[in-house]
Order: sequence, then C-alpha cells, then structure tokens
Amino acid sequence: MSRFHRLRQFTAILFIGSYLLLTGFFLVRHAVGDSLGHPLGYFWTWDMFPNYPTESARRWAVGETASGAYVKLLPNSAHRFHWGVHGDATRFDIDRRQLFFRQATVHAIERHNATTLDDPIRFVYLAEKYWPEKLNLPDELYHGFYHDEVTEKVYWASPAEEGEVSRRFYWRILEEVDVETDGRVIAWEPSP
Amino acid sequence: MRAFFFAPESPRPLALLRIATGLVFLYDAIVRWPFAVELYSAAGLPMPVFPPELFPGTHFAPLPLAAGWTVALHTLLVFALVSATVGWRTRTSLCVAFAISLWLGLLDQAGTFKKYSVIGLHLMLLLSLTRCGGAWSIDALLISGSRQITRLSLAWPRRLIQVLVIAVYLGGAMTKIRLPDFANGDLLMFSLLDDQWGGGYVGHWLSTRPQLLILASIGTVLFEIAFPLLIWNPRLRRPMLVLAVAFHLMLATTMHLGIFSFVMLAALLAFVEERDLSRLVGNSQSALPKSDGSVARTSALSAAGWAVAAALLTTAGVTLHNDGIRTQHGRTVFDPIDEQTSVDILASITPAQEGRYDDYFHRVELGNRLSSDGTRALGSASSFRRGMTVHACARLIQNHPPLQIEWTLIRSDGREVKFAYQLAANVSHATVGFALTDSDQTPAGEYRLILRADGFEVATRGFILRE
Repeated sequence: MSRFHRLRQFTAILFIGSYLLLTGFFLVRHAVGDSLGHPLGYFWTWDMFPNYPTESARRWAVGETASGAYVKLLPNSAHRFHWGVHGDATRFDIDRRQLFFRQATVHAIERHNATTLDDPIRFVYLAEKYWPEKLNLPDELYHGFYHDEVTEKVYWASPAEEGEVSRRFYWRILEEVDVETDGRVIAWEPSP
Repeated sequence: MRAFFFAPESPRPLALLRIATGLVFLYDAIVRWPFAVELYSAAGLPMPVFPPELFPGTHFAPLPLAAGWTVALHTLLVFALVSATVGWRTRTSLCVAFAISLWLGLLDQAGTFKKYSVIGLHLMLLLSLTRCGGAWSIDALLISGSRQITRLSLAWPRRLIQVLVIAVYLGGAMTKIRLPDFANGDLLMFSLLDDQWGGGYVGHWLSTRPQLLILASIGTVLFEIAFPLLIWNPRLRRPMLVLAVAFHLMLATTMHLGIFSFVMLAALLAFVEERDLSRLVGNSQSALPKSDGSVARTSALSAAGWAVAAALLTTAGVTLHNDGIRTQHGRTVFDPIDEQTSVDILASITPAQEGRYDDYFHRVELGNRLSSDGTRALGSASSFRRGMTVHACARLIQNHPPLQIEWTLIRSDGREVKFAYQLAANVSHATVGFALTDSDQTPAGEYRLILRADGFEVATRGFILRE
C-alpha cells in the first residue's frame, strides 16, 4: 500500500472513530437525561417531540399610538413566510423565544414611526391569541367526539349573525413596554 | 470490522441515496428561496439557532449578509443541490450544499433549521466522502463515456449513515419513553391536534380514537427500538426496511412535519444493497478508478462548466428575486386593530372570564375502570351493573388556573351526590369514582354525572345502572 493510501486509510479511521464516539457520547447523555447545553449537542441529539402544547397560539405585537389608536405591529406585511397545517403561522408563532419577538417589535416600531411622524407608537403589548387544541378538529370530528351541540366551535372566522360576536379564542398579554418619543423602548415588563 | 467498514462496494445504492437526498432538500430550498431575504439576511429578520445572547462564547451564529448576497447564496444552494442530484461535480456540489445549508440554517431556527435539517447535513457530509457520483450521474458519463462502468466506493461512509439512522431511532425512542404522557397516548393526541406540526384530516381522526393512539404510541417506540437491532439480520433486513418505509409514510400522512419523513426515507436507502438493485435494474460493470490524461481534461472542463453554470444561475437568481431586494426600502403595512379586538386584548380575555370553563378541559370520560396510570376511564360509558364503580376522568389543558372542581351524581330518583375539591394549576387530570354497590344509595335507573369548575358546568354524561 502506498504512503498516500495509508494516510487516507488512517484519516478514514480517525473520522469513523470520531463520528462513532460523538454519536455514542451524545446518545448516552440523552439516555440519562443530560443533553449537553452546547450547540454541538444539537447536531447529535435526537430528541424530537420532547413535549407538546395543549393550546394553539398566534402572537401579536400591538402598538398604542399617541392618539390612542391601536395597530398590529407584528405580524405585518414584511413577514411573508408562513408555516403550519393551515399555512397561517408566522415564525413568531413557531419560535416561542421572547428574544426575537422583542427584536422584531423594536424593528417594527422604528418602521412605523418613520412613516407616521405625527402619531408615533407610545406603548406596546406583546400579546398572544390562544385557544384549546380541541378546536382545531374539523367540525364533524369535533361534534362526533364531544357530542357538542354548540356550533360555534371554530376559532377562526365563523360566520356571525349581524351584531353577534363569533369567537372562541382568548388573549393573554405576555409583556408590555413604554416607548420613548424617539422610538426607543424602555425595559420590557412582564404583564402583571 | 475491516470488511464492515472498508469493503469496496458498488456506488449505485449511494447514488440512489444521493438522488433522493438531493431531491428532498432541493424541494426544501426552492420553497424557501422566495423568502431568503426575510429569513436569512440583515435586511430581514434572522432568528439564529444559537444567538450569542443565549449561547455566549460558542460562535455558532453566522453573520447575516446583505440581501443581495443572501439571495446569491441561496440560489447557489439550489444550484448545488440540483447538480448533486444529477451527479455533476458531485463532491463539490455536496460540499457547497453542506456549507450553505449550515450557514443559512443557523440563521433561522423558526422557519428553517429543524432536526431534519441536521440529518440532511449529516447526509450531505457523509455522501461527499463517497463515490456516490460514480453511478447514475453526469460525472460517471463524462468519465466512462458510453460504457456502463461504475467506480467502486468504500463502505464506511454508508455504514456511518446507517449509524446515523439508528441513532435517530434510538434517540427518538429514549425521548418518548421518558414522558408519561406518551404511554397514555396524550402526547401523540395533542401533537396531532397541533396546528403547526400536527395532522391533516387523517391525523385529526386518529386523535379522536384513544385506543388507537395508545397502540400507535407503543408501536412507534417498539419500532424505534426494534429497527436498530433487527436491521442487521440478513433475513429481516428487507422486512424491516418495508416496515420503516410504511412507518414514515404513515407519519407523513398523519402529521405536518415538513420534509422529515422524506429525509428519513432517503436515509433508509443506506440499508439498500447492490443485490437489491441488481434485481430491479440489472448488474453493472465495475472497475477500479483509472487515471489518464483524458480523464483529467474532462474533469477540468467539467469543473469549469460547473463554475460558469453556478455563476450564471446565481446572477439570474439575484436578478429574478423580487422579495426584499427591490422592496426592502418599501413601506411596511401595519393593520389597524378594531375597537372590540383591542378591548379584548387589553382585558386579556380568558375562558374563565367568558364563562367557557369547558375550554380548560380537553375531554371528560366515563368508564367502569381506570387505566393503570389513572389517566383514562375505560370500559362502557353508558351502561353499568350493580357492584361496579363509575369512574370519571377529565383531562385538562396545561395552562389552566386553580379550579374548584365539583362532580355531581344525579340519581335515578333525582337526589344528588356531590364530591368537590380544589385542583391545582399544575395538575392535568381530575378524577372521581362513585361505587354502585348499595341498591339503597344507588337505585337502578338513569343517572347523570355533571362536572362543574368554579360553579360553571363543563360536561354532563348520562348512563344507566342495571341490577
């Protein structure tokens, strides 16, 4: 065997050993419930479906302007990527980390105030529209399972009689914040 | 061990794996291409998988580039995946696809980087170490001309892909068996109902069948443990592969998991061997790779052609892309919120405020016995005999407030028996049992059991008690 081939084989053995070692290491850590909190662990830990939600939710950032009007800062027309069974979930709904929700809200405030100088945003609520997952069932499956006589099951636009509110979802405010006149946000406060 | 990892083998199974992997991730890349600016560029809103704020000092957060460069990178990714699929400059294409997929993926966890992305990175990296371009590829045609010659490949990268598949199954099994709500079917049920990753109609139908959910949950874990063990048995290899394909097709039918099922179907091709393909597509001539002047010239021309094609397509992509590059300085539209909605938001309307306490409860079951973990009521829900106990079990959603639970049993003679207690917010089940042993206390006839939370009626169930 030539020197080049010996070197190639040695490199292959090194790679195989490293790959098997990493696989085994993270598998064992996962088995004992100690998944490493390092990014490298993400590439070797197979922990799909570690938990489950019992509610569905959609996140809004709601801005209150100086005149007392309310606008939906997030999601806005700049957020075109959608996901989900119905293709209506934004990335803020998928990624529940507050970090990006706040960053995107600050960005949206800047954009809004840049084009609406006479009525800037003065207060922001990070809100979540939510509903129990059972309401995601199609009508016929829902009625068959729950024997529910109530017909206004669906969370999204059920046709409503004039003057009636047809809704079966709820709201919670996650955080709120004051916005300075120059568009700068003060500290985010969890909703009481 | 040496033979297991270093035996020369036909690259045709790897070629199949290459084509499948390329096609799956090509679809994924094309779907996201229109949103490249929004997802990955500095002009959009990248959501890094490992932001420095949360993972200081780890350096796993690439810098987002300007919109134009991001689109160029994404277009190059599409080209690399196309060329990997057709086997043109295969190794280069796979390396380019791996690098760009990693760069862009790490910039967007919410919309892009999932576990199937990680599996894809493993596949691309390991395939780049093989001669998967040695069969059913442009590279093979250029080198061998019209003769059907395939260049042999060493087994070890394919073996490592097999190890990857086994690790995925074992990891999945370990995750599930540690969750108590997996064994009783609740994890699967709520996952199917989830409107982001859950099921379509078939998945929703399955979520209303409690016994099927439990069987499906247990069956999943059994498969994930059995496959790594049985796939190595020569007699069981094909049946296990068929089972695995059926499993992932069922997953694709019942859940909205993106390309995950198809990524796993591609990865399973690592267990397909040459003798399987020979049955289907016949044998091929194999030869050791040769090197001479003509091969070198062809290779150089091919490389140059690949580079030119990549540059042209990337330029075309940037020109065609109309998301953000032309409109990034355009006006963002913010919708006004109507008065009623703003009132509801500010009031933080809850089910309790609306009197819809039934929305804190996912299901209420009746039965003549409880499951071993006390989370399900089993047996007939409509008819009971003397001596039985009527068990009622309510499954609540996770985010519920503390509740005053009251079960009211209305006897056939109209008299009521109540049982009340306080349910803490972190408790997910409310149960009760009424013994039907005493004929004076519980005369035969029609009964109703009413569940109330904080005084509001949640559910009513009727049953008949027979002597």
